[in-house]
Amino acid sequence: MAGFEKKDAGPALPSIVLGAAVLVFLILAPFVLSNYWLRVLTSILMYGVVAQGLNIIVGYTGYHAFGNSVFFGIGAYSTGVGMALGLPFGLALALTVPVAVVVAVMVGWPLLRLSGHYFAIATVALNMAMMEMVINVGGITGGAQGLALPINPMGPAVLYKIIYLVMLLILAGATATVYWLDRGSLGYALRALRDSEQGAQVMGINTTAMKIMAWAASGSFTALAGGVWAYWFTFIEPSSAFDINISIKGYVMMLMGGLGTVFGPLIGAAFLELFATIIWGKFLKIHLLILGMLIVLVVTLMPQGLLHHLRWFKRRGKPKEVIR
Amino acid sequence: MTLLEGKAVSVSFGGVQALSAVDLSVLEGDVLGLIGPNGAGKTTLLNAISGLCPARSETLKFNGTEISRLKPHRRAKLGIARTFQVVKPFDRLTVVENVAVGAMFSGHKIPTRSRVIERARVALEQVGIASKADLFPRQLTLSERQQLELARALAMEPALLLLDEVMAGLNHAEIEKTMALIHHINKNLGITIVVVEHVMKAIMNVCNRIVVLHFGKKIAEGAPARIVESPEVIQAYLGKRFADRQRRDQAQRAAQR
Amino acid sequence: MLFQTIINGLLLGGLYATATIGFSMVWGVMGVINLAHGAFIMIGAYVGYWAFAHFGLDPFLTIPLSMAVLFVIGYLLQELLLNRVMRTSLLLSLILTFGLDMFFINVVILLFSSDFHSVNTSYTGSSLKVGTAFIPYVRLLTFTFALILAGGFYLFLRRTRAGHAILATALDKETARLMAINPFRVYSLTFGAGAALAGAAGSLAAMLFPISPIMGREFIGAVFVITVLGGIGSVEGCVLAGLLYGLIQALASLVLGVSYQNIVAFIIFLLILVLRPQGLFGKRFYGEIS
Repeated sequence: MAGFEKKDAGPALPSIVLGAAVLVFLILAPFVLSNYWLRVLTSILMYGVVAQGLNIIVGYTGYHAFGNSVFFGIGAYSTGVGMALGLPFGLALALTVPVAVVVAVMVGWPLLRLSGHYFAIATVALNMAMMEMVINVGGITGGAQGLALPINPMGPAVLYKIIYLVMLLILAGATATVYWLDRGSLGYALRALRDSEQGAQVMGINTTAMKIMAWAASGSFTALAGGVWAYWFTFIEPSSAFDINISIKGYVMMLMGGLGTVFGPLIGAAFLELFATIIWGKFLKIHLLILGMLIVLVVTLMPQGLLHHLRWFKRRGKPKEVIR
Repeated sequence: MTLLEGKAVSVSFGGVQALSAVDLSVLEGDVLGLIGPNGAGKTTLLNAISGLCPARSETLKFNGTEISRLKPHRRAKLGIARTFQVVKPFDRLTVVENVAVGAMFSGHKIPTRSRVIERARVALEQVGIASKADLFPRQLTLSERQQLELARALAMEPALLLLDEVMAGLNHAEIEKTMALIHHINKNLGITIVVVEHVMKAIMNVCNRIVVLHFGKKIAEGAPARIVESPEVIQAYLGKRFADRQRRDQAQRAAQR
Repeated sequence: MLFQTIINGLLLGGLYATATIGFSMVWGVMGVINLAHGAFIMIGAYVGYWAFAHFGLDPFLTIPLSMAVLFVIGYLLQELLLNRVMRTSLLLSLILTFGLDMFFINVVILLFSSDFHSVNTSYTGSSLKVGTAFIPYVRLLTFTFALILAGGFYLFLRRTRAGHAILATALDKETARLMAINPFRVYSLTFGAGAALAGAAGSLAAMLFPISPIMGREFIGAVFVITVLGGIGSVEGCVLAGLLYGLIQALASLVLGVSYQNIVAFIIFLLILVLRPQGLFGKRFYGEIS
């Protein structure tokens, strides 16, 4: 059976049932969960977006953007500054997308020529540089003092539900994009260039344009997550908006779930964020230790990701996807 | 009609001159052999043509279009396909997906996904590895991977095909098969071919013209029979002693007539 | 003022250089980017502090102790964990070391609390006056020791069998293997030596900076820039790049203000990566521009 045809056969029945159950739960959640758990779920969705963003640039394109949190911060600050200038939340959030795209294009042009490790650490340096820039520019961004966003008059009960729904929509968009990549020619172009850039070039693929587009998409979703986060917490500062841990966590979630798959990052995000929340609640003093150990374990024992090891989700093809 | 024309093509890396002012002319329908000792610049010339390395030239035209400033993917879309000496398959795609990528992004617009798959399967059949369509490149033997490399290029339905040592590491039977395939591609599919090869038997039987490179310069060009007897070529491969002997033999035969 | 700035920059640069050598070698020999390197420096500082506070050891004398402790930690980590992961993917080792970094920081918080500590000796406050500049004795001595350690490591690499094995593996793992060098043993040795140097740098840093569980994170930025600037895997490169880095930071601080010194460093870093990835002394074998 060809790889193409296998995809069309679709997933196995258990996963369809499970997927439907999850979807129903997600839709009913705002009406069923307490505020605390709704916030936890929103956090999971947020990390889901970050992980999917990483999935696009890392899983499908093969460029390990460890510093992708730079887009999270850009989204947070663009929304914050937009609202400080008087724009309503919806508009400020929507404008983060063109900002993220412009950054991805400008920075992607030189950086996406680097390979492997070099690209990874260049993105980390980019993240730190942006953080420092915000601190030094000050002014309307609030610099090191931070920036307060307008508080919504609606009150927390309604607000948290709205935030949850917006985050859910963004996650749906990100996942739909990955799904489309998984099957469309653009996705094939990315995977080809991931495996052999020269091979892809001589077959008619404009690798530079493809890479930049992928990073622009990745950055846009990550920025949207950052924008919602900013409005949610109503106060942002450079060290938390540009926190490198955001992308590292996202990266580990993507790894855990399975990079280069459509739903892997979501599973990874759910698992790790739930785990982290419970640990934070019960073992505050040693939570870093446990998280650190978990990361070590995941990387050492399950580099292919959970999705690969769970039999009831049908995977395309047989041999393992080796992470390069 | 001249399909590919290059005048004074030069490539240098740092201080090393890999190609010096090479003139190349490939006519439609040719099977042009490109030979020369190791390091002569054969792969570099292919890279210069496909756009993978920066080259200076007076002109580099494909089908009348100046391509010296075009990026590799644009040249591919114009109809130039190539294989690599060290094969570069897409490891995480299946064999048929590998070949389909060629059909998807070549200059020919193929309207539907099913037609793309069809094109891919046809290419796999032509090359002889249709049975391995759903495997991954890692699971193929070396000669099968060479065939995959070739199928990918064929799926692009190119006008010009550049082959870089496709017979490296093959056994006798596999070489015969590949020779027949090259003949088929040229005569039945109408594709012009430039072959870089070390397997002399293949070059002699398959090419209608040969160009010889040595230290980045073109030292001889002509029909296979003439090239093999040329003292310059013999000197490049075997050294001055053998070349001198060849010159003496030729002079003797001329004197005898 | 300028003279003082230059002196300050160079003295600190020497320390940064030695703090970086281990990181640079590990990257050069094995291709591993060790994000736990900062934690190694931090642990070295704490070992130094502990020996000083509990046994009254002069901080400079704690260097052999911190080197020994870190060597063992580094060697074991490589043997037991990293060697396994490296077989699958080098990028995973980055994540792995990130996890280790978190782990170590938490362990140190449990053992020593997150409070700041410091190491103050009888000579901590005194300085030497040279021209218009004041050179604190502590800074001068740490600079000297840092360079001695760097020089010692350089000689170790060039003059001993073990050192040769490391250099050979860096150049060509397969050929080294043919010459009966076990690359994984070499990796463990390299990682251990790199950790040991970090530990020594930590002991020295303990005298200059407040000691805290996250002090390693303040170093890691400098370590990255210096590694890439000097050329990955080059000891001489590290020393020169370290001095240069210290100088640039000090001058940036003077001219632009203290808050700008980090951003200058990051911009330099990005520029080097894009324009001259092999740094000043490195060879272009990693991360070639495609």
